[in-house]
Amino acid sequence: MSGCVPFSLAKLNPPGLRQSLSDFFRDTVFAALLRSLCRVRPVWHVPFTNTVWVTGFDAVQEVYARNHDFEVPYAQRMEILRWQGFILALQDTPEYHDMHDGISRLWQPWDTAHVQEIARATTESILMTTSSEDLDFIQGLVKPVLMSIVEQHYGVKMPARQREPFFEGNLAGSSFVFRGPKITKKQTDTVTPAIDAVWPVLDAAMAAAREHPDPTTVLGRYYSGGSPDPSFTEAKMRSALMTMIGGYLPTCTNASGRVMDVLLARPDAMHFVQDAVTAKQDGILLTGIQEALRLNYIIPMLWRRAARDTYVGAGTTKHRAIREGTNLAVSLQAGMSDRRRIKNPKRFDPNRSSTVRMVYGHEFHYCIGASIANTVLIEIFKGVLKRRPVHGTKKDRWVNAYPWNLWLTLSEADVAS
Amino acid sequence: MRAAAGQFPSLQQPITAITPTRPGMSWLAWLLLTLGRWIATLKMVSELEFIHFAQWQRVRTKNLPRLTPDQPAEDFAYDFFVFTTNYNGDWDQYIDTFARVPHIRLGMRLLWGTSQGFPGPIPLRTFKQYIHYHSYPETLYYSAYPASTVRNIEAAVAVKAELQKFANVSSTTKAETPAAFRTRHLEMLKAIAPKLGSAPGVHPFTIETSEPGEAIPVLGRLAGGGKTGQTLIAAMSPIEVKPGYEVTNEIAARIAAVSESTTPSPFAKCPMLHFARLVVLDDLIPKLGSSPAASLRTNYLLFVAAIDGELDDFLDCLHAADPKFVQDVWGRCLGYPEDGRGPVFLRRYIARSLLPVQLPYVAFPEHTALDIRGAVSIHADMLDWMAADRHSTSDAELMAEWQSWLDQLFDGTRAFR
Repeated sequence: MSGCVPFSLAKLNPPGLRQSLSDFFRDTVFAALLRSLCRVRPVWHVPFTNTVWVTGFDAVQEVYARNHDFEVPYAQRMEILRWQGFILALQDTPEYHDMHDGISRLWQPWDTAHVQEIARATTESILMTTSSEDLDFIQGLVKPVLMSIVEQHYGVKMPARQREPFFEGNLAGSSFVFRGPKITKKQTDTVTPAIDAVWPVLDAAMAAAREHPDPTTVLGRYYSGGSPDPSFTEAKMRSALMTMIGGYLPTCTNASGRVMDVLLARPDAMHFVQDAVTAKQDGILLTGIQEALRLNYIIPMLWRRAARDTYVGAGTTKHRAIREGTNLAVSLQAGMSDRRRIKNPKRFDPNRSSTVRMVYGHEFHYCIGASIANTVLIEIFKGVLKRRPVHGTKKDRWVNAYPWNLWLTLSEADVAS
Repeated sequence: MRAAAGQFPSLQQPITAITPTRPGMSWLAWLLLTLGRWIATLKMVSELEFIHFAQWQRVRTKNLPRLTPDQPAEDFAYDFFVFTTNYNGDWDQYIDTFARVPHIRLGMRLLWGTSQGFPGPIPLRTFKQYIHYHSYPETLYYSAYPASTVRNIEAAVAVKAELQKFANVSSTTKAETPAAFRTRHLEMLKAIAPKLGSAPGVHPFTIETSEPGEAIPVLGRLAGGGKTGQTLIAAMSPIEVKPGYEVTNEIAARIAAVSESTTPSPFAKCPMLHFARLVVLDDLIPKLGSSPAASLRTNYLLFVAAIDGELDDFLDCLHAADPKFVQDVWGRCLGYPEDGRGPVFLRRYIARSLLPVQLPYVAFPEHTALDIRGAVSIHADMLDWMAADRHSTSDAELMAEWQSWLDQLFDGTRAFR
């Protein structure tokens, strides 16, 4: 690891006026702007720029579905992160399908039972030993549970002192990847030490697995046959591992906090998910979680770039021309509140069609780890909701767009039992 | 090719009849249908108890969907009157009813009186010849409850309501004695016994060719909890400009393959769908005995469906169920965006192909498809309960057995077996 001081995203973004203003701007002003645009101008060319904002439900789905015309623009950022083969940054090429197949072979669907077991055991052990007053939902529960999956299921074990920088490095890396088209020096200066805290951990884990493969982990499975699968080299495995961690830790942390935020603010939502937990209906609980996430999505917009001169509005009579090289800021958050497609979008309605919830993306580049994320979220929320959480007494804190400290007070009684 | 009665493995058979309107009478057909929608309760149709669904439409030739600039406008001198329905029993009996029941005969005379060559309901021979001549063969017909007649469903819904009432009393009556339970149970059985005669057999959703008991994965949820009423849709999509027939034949073959397959069709995975039909129209039949004055310049695909909730939710669900089927059928029609892989393109395409629905009728407007399947399933199962000899069972045992039976009976997943 470079430098003596471990990387800390939280220390770089201390609480204060700047963070409060940033929170207000992001959650109130910017969200309102996106909603307004969605209503009046779902595809808006920002004047005097090379940028188009896409906020309507149909337009968002179209841009995501037409992945050959609207490409992911993250190549330069990947170079800075020294991360070749990140699946979300790849176009529809053989390299993409090779990586997709490799990940699907190693992270198999039946792994969810193992993931569930780890998540449940970790959640319960934390909640059994935590005082009912003032549980930090993010740092005290979500983070340890997510990290337990990385260590026990993926097989990326690390010393305790490396956990914080590893976790925060992933969050900083994820923030960096999904920022706008312009890369500033400040962004690069922040993310370089962040990612320096991540790669060595992965390399050490791979070296350890090579020596002593544990077949119960993904890494161990990769090495357990003696020499690794020649069609999926160690370089690809390294990238795949980073993909499955870098795409999982930040998003699940973010999603958990936002879902809890919605549940605490809306009694109807809280009743619904608690009823699902009491009835032991995991599928219905997941519906409630995803509906809450629709209302408070993890990221306001993702980026695409027009690969050629084209237009948005295919299959309609209204075409909006898009020049080659145009940057498209595509807002799933705004799309999922588009009144043209979603009745009463601000209402928590778990009965609405699941197809309006694009919480894992849409079509090409649909989240490859969705089943793992779903399993972990269910176990975390099941554990907490059984104990009837309410807002804690301490002040919540956000770091950039991440919920960082979310304080809960839990009931002593396990309501489900 | 003429429509053949009884061609689908279902107790319901569809009719799709399209007749040319008399010159200058198209407006009258429109007026009658519009007035009918506001005035007529179609109570007589309901009292016949063998029609599940019917709709009458006046379609203007000049308004047939023209979705690409190179698709020629149709040049028929007259418009069309479209009648789609499904019924139980025999085709002859069905048409006989139209002619023999005075109120319906009057209605038919009014509605079809605006059509060219309509001989009137009497004599029956010419009336039947007329309907048969103007009927079009359905390439696919789907029903969510193919083994049920209207009377089956009426009885099933009544049985389910009776059981629910019985179960509600059980749950609200504290400390009911086993003896009191037996008395109440006997009364309930007496009440439902007359309605069990029409219950279907052990596989209430399958006829002949389908695999019995096969679980069908259900996609999506019901909009508004399935309480938003039924929507009838009719969409006419242009397939290809004549003299081309290649795409038309391929689409027809693809639909027929789904229709003839013993595996569940993509429609079976959509819980909000009651009925659907697909008809390939390569021409419209002129008045009987006349030489064709004109011919359709484009082949069309007529899609008629009755669904619960929103059309967009259904189309999303259909796309999720089998994107390849959607691509192979509508994806090859004129005006469908090239490489339009994604539900948004299907939604947009069907929206542009919709025909106005003017006089719709459904037998069970208050019940969702899932409700009806659930009721039909319960109806069939109650026969088993009745068949068991419980004379020697003690009151307490009867009470316990019933409770366990009731839990199975109201298990929601049974509706999809």
